[in-house]
Amino acid sequence: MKKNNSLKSLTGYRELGVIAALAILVVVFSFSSEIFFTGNNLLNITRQISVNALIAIGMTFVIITGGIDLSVGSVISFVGIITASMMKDYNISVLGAVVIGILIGAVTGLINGVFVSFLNMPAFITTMGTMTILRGLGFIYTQGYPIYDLGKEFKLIGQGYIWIFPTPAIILLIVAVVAYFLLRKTVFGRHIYAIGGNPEASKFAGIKVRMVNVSVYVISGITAGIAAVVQASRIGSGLPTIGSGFELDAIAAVVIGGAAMTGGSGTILGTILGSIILGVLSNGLSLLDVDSYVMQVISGLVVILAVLIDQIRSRMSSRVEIKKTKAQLAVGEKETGR
Amino acid sequence: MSQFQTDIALEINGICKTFPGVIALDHVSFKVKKGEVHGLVGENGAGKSTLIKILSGVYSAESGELVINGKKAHISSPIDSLHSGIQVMHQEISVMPNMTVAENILIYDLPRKFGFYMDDKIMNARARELLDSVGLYHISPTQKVGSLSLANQQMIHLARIVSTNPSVILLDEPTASLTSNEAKELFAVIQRFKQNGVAVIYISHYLDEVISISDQITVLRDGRHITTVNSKSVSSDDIVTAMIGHQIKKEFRKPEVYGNEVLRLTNVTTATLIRNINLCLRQREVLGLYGLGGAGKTETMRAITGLDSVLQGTVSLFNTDVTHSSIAKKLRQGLAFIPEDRRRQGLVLQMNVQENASLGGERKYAFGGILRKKFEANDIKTYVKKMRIKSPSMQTQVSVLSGGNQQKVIMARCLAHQAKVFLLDEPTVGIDVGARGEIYQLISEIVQEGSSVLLASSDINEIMQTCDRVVVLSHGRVAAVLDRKDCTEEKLLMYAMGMGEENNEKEQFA
Repeated sequence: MKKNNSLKSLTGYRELGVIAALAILVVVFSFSSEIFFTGNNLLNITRQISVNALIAIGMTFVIITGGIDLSVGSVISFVGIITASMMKDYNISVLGAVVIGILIGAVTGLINGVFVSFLNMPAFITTMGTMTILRGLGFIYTQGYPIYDLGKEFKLIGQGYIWIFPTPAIILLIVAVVAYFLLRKTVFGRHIYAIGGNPEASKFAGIKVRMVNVSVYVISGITAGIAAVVQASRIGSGLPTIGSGFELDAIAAVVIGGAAMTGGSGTILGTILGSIILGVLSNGLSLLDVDSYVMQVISGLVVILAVLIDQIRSRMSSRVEIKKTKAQLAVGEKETGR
Repeated sequence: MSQFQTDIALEINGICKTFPGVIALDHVSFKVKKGEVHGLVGENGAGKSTLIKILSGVYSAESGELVINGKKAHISSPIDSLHSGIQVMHQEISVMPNMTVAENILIYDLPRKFGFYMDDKIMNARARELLDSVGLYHISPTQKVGSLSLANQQMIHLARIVSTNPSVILLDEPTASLTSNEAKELFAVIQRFKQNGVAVIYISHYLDEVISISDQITVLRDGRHITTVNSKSVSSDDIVTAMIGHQIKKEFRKPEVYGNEVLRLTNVTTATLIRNINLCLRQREVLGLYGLGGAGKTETMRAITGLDSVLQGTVSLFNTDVTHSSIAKKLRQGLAFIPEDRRRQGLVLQMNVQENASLGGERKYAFGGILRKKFEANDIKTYVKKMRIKSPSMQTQVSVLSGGNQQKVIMARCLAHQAKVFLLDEPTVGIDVGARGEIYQLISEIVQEGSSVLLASSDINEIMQTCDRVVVLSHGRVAAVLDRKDCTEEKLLMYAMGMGEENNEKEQFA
């Protein structure tokens, strides 16, 4: 069983690399800032990353199929606005408003999915369109003004604690476990990897490629909806300007976590680690009083570096594969001379 | 161009090329004169493609030499080949549909102003001349190539070839996508090449065509040069005999006792190649679908699975009409499709043996959508064993397996899905001889156990060895239906090349 599963050993290695990078960051920040490695700050980080990580979990599903979902940033603001408005303007209960909010996320995903999967639109264009549309709708609905004064109960979702743990971190944990289970333990999850790896072969094997494809966008919409509720609760208002650029942070987390944009690979654990790296980086740098513009430059560099490492590794592994194939050819595989 | 006066445009001298396990070309030598059309024929696997690839610089020969216009040519890349004056028109049309006719023709050397600025005027004027030279008087240089017919796109490619003033032109199956009128236009252009002293090597499956257009014909078989003959003094029978040679009698598979009809195609016509296809497959039968490249074998398979929509006629599976059912539904009813391009259409290369073998049929191992991987592993293992797949483990990524084992993984999948009707499209392409035998053995086992097989192949030996009955396709139509006892290689090849007399046997099965 030593050389058996090169995919698994690769992903193992992949996550090991991310963990190593994370460890280095933690050590560096622990030495340069007294506050960094304290229980309070670490718990604080889990709260800070929760929104990004929640979006990134849904994004992982989409990216495994080889797609992309750019609309999630706008979902954050639009769902936040509607949830806030439900409570404030229509006196709907917190639970009711939250459910409506998440449903809106799901519907957005469904629309994305139908366009991409059944109408063969490019995912990039479709979700860019819904991104812009939702952003516009948010401004129309609010006239540009935030909706605030949302009540204590609602704020507990993003600001509260369960025992010593921040509530958003608990929500993240639950969503991550469910997502892990879906991807790794179900037929549906297997099919997601299959259509990302080879849609044509999947179709020939009888997989309902289109249905699976729609579902991943719905999942992305739902996790973005959940993230939107957390975000609105954390800042205590529905803001038409919030969330822009969140889609890129989520994609960054997924990619740092080792997923390939071409589809077929990616894990929930990797994505969470990617999200933690981005979170630790911004937390640590702001503790060190690094200018926020400089922080952006550094985050960008980290993303590029992560993908670069990924490229180099995949090239190396394909070289290994070619060598293996050549060895097999030498054993007596015939190439037809047709 | 050469300082030597010679009337030989291309001399191929003792060319050898070996692939692991097979000698593709074994000291092949022949000469092509200037202004000559030289036909090159041979069965699949005879070495034609390898020779084309050596001449076009895709492969390099292990030994032997190429002499072009009296000068020894060193061809180790496609660019070398172009510089040596060789131009190849491949079977697949390679034009850029979103660019104009002129840009497509002059792509090798776009006229420039000030070194970088494209000069449209000169470009269009030059393109006009070249268009006229291939007889495309009605096509404007500024048209987009994508708007032209396939035949005209091919002619555009030919004009591009003319623009480089080549000494040798290779045409690989140039009439495959042409109607007979379009083919005539092509032949007229070839005559003009002849007059200009260009040597043309003409490769085609259609013997009549080769005989009528060529001056000399070279026959290859099993990588060896068999003969070069004057086409005026040769009959198609002679050439077919040379192509097949004397072959040792092969072991044939014993037919089983047939059961009921499981698959029937009635007058199936698609938008792709095939017209009015009739065939029926019975339980425990292996039905061959023989034809040369482009005869419509894959298209027939695609029509059965529903990947190409059927415009006319019906497909029935176990006596139910499934003409317009989805592929997933047909698979559930017991159909199995094993495509020719197994890496692109059969397997998810990033996944392991177990995952690939259960692909699409995972529900069998699931409880409420949750996969029971141990159950899956145990069940798949029995099929992996049955198929004698050689793999270090069930968790090995399929991309590292040999072609034969990859093919067996797909066959294991079909067995695991309880398939009853197997559609095999060129099941042994790219597979070594040993693994081939194993696949044939597996086919007979599948049939013994009560399933049926429709096997599409352009390999005569494969058809003769495994099939009980053979449907021969030619130009998208059924040319003949033959029982194995009536099959000879000559007969199959004749029908496939569109030379058989109108056959009545096909009516019997309609």
